[in-house]
Amino acid sequence: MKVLLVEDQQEKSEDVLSLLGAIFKENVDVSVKQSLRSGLKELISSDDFQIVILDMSMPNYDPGPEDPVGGTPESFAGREFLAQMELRDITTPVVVVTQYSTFAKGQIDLEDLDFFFRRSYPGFYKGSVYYSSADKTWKSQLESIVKELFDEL
Amino acid sequence: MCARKVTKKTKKPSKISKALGRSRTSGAAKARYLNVCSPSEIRNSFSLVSRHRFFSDAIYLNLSKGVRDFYKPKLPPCDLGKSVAWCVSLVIFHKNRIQKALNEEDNLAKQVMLRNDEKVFEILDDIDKKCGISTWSLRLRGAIESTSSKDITSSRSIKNIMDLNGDAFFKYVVRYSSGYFKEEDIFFTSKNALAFEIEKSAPKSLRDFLLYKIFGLSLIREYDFRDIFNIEKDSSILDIFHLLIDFSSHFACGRMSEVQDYIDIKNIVYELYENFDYPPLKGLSAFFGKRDDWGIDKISREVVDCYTKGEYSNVCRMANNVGWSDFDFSIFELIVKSDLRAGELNYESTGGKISQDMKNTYTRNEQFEESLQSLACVSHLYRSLTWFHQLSCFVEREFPFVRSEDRENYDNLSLIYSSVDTPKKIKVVGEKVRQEFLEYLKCNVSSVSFHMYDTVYNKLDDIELGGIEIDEERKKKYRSVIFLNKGMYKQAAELLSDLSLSSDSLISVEASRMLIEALVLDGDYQEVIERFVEISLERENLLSLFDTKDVLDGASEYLKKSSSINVPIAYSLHSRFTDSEFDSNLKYSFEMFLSRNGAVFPNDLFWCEEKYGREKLNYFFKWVCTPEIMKLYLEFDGVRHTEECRLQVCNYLMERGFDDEFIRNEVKEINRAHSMKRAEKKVENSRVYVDTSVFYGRDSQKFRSLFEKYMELSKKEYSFEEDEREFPDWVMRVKEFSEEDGLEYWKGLSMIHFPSLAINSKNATFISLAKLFRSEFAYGYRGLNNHLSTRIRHGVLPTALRKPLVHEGLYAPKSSTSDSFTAPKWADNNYALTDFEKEQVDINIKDFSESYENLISTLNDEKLQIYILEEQLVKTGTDSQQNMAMFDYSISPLECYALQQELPISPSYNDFVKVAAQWLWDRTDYNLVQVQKYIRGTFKDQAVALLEGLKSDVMSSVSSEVSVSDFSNSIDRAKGALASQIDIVCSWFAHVDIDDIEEFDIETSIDIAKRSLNVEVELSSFVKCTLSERNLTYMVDVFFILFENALSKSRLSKDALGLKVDISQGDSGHLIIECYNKCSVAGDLKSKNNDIEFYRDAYGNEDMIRGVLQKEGGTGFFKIWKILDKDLETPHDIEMGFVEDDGFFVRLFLDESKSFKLKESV
Repeated sequence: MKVLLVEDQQEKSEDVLSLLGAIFKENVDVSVKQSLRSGLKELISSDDFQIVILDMSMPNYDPGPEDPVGGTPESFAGREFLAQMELRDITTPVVVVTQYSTFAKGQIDLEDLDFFFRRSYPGFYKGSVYYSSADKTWKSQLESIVKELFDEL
Repeated sequence: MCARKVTKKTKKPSKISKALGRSRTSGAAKARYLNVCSPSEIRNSFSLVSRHRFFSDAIYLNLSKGVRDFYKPKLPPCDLGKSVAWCVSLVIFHKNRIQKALNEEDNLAKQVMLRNDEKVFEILDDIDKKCGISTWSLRLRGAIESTSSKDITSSRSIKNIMDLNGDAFFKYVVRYSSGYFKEEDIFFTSKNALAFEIEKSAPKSLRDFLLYKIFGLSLIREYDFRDIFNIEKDSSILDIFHLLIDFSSHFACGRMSEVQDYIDIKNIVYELYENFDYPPLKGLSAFFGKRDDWGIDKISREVVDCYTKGEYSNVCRMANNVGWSDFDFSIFELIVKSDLRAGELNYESTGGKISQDMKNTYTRNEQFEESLQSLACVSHLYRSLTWFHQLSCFVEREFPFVRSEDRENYDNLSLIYSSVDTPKKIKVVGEKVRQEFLEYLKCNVSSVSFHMYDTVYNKLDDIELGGIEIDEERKKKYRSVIFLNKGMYKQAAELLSDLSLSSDSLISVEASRMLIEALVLDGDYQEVIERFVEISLERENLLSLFDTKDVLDGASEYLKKSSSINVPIAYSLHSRFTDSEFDSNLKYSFEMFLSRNGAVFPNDLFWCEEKYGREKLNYFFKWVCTPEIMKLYLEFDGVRHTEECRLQVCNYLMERGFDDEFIRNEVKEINRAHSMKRAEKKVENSRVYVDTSVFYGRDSQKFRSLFEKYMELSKKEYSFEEDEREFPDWVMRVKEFSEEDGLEYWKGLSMIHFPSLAINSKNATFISLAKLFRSEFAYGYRGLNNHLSTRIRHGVLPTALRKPLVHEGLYAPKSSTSDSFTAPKWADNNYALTDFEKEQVDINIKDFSESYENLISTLNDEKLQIYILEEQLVKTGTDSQQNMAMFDYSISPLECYALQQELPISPSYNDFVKVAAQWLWDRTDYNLVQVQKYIRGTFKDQAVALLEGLKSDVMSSVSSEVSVSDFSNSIDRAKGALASQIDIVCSWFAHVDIDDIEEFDIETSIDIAKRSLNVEVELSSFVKCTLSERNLTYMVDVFFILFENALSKSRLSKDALGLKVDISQGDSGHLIIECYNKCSVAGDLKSKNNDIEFYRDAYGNEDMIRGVLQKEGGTGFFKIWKILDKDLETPHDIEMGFVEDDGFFVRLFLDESKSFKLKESV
């Protein structure tokens, strides 16, 4: 199983990696990217990813010596990522794993976004999971979506 | 015949009687009544409850108690169906009173139009006596008061009425809905600023109500009418009546949410129509299919007929004879359109400015935006009157980039409200009564008008249209309408293409819009996009006509595949002027355009004007090749590479003569950021950051325009105004009471409000500017909320605060399968515990974890939020939930006044940005202190108390001393670690001012300025001079002015300029900066030096400089003086002049000051 994980927060990234390892008994190859651009670049340059696990908020650029935070944080980087996939006709299945229950300006919640993504990207958007280090529910939710996808594949 | 047995039946009490009978208090009776009754039962039982003593306050509202109890809850909240049923019954119960007010509306409108202010007040006084004071009448009073040049003496002035009612909520509503938005020039900005505040910070239950009451009905917004009715049913009978009209109108023409589906609006409208004589109700009833009293007066009929026949002079003549106040708005529109052709209207007798503004709007001429804003303002002020409500529909219909559907809806609503039944009304008359209406028209309107409408809208017969005697170009337009309605889009487009070039500006504008619509319907998307882009670039004023979303949605497949330069331009036009819906497409189209045209980077397209068209390529470079749009382009290595590319593009534009102030500023800003290699790590430590460069860049136009307006108003005299007299004392008082560090100062000012104090135009404009600035600072793309949200609230803070507990095994995460918490780890390896004890400890830790999560959630989700709604509304007590937000940026007029006092003399826009940014950082610093106090105080105390509680619970559950001791140690370690973690979290809430930390060499400012102008400079530095980032920015401006002056005045090319800068230290320790360049100015040395004598004399003379500082051209030296003297507070001298070798020098002698640090000589 080849997975692209687009996630800028280290602890969350490690949690997701550990879960993927447990699900696929280490038989999983995960490429981790920390920004919208690097995630997108990785997906465009390689056509053998079977699943994308995508964070919703992240920087546009990879952090570097000149810019340790990767430019202005993007509240909706995940949405841009999905829109670019659609425009480029990339249909790798995507699961959004986010720590936000509410997004920018406190107006849009995860349910609204999920509804929007399902309507806009029915071909490859597979669902959203609310991640919290205080709550293990995300593990079972992500596991269930990933296993279902794995069965389909 | 047998005798009928008569039995005496005991009538069973109805459930309503039971509900009322059981209730001992008014509140209980009303709650039970609304609970047990269905909407139809409410309608049927109203006469019963109207006699019940418990209901008298809800039925007579302010008729009995006056304005004192306005909006005070009298009836409990209930669902929408019940509210509507109650309100319909209530207005019918009071129908005689309401009808008397409605009967006065025409006269009232006439007196308003004729500006008989005293008469208007007289009528309103009379209406208020009959119906009680209403916000409907207060709106009119406010409008008159705010626009009248005379002092209003009425005892029922807004101020007096507001003084009668101490309720802050009522005052807030009245203040902002009655004459507040009176400044035409800033109408949209001020309105949007308040709407933004309400959208962001008002409690949900008040949000829609406030937006509806303050700004009037919008057909575009989906309101929660349940909330609106629940508040409005405690207002006045007239307000409730008008809410019912608005509610029905929204249902007929707006976007209704699904909850309204079950309400039988049609029958509600019929019932109101049968009980009231009111044109909007007649129109609504006809729309829903019931009407029997059609009518059109003689003069209106004649205007319609003459207009149809193209006899525009006759229309103007009739209008001149009658006067505008006697015409319905739909007829007034025909008069204005006739005047566009004939130009024969008398200005004063025909609505004067309104008709002129409408003409500017129809023709989309240069005054369009100004005129539309003016119309929006006047229609907003007087929207209580149907005529002005129709005018507001006109404004919405003509609004830039309005969606086609919304345009149609507003047009329909205006027709529905029309008191004259013209042929055009056919489209808003329901099927059931359409035939009757056609019969009426046949008998009452001339054969030409009727025949024309019948042919165009019913028969769709273009041949028959040929026989009707109307103006040829209008005939062509109507023929295209027939083609469109018959689906013959290509034929329609051909006609419209011709008409778009018509000399009749009205037809030309309308045809351009219809042409794009016809092409979209035809599906020829290449043509659509080409025409759309070409019309928009060539006739910029027409761009706002188009429904760009419709265009881009329709052409999506073509846009995805095309290699045309029109594609990124079309997307960019939408993104710049409407919304962000197509931003992703724009980024993608940039990439596709490059690759499909064999280019890797934008500079590959330099000098390709011939291929792509000069105008289009310049547009592409200026508006598409920006860092924001290029940021996803994968050919760039990173942010630096993207910005370098932007610099190249800007330099190309500047060299080709297409630069402007924004491009020059942008170049300076990018160079500055690159040169300084900002101390990003410091930004990283503090997660509270705002990038204020947005206030200088391409998108700063809205701030600049408002600032210019403020500066213009500042020239007038305001010292006699009430607010100017009141504010200074208050500012002084707050200053006296503020602590030394001044953090309390702005906060204190923001809390003081004067609800009934009139705000003068200058101050009102500054408030709007401050609010606009504040919104960008708090909520902009690079604003505070974005950083707070992504770098703190987004899981980072909760994880950090859980860490010490997780580490000690004292934290139980929520289970993945249920809502409970999973077993914590602490007890797992503790073999001294019995199974029962382990279970008990687990329960204790789970309980603790739940409480601790609540604590974190309060901090993360409620405290660390931004709040901008003003304190005045907070005081209503309706806002307790939202008010937990600790990043409080609510502002008051008093605070904005104090802020103005911080500006230097003759402030430039950049001065304003500096002062305003400092103000918001001061506000932020205050907020940060509060947040830190909360985390170190309340949060920590509560967390420690929870840990202590856990310790004590576990101690009482466990018998093993070893285990108790282990657990106690764990708790203590966790407390220690939590304290450290709290220190780390608090460090995130620090405003790190890079300026205070980093120091830069003066050479850096020279480097930025020379790179921004792309010139070579020979630098000789004999002293080490450093300055802070903020001061460095000022010095960049000084060198930029010196170098630009050399470039523009020397009459030499860049290569021959020979620019040199020497930096040295004088004998008395002062800094000397000398700038030299070659020049080719004709004349002998003496005369050339005489020519610049004025600059030497005026330099440093504030009185001479004040007037020229704001101007462009020839003011560079004075700007240098202002920067050095005022901004850098550095006393200095200047020498300048031409020298023998065709050279020119400027020498600055800068005294010692805190702005510069001179170190060792080099």
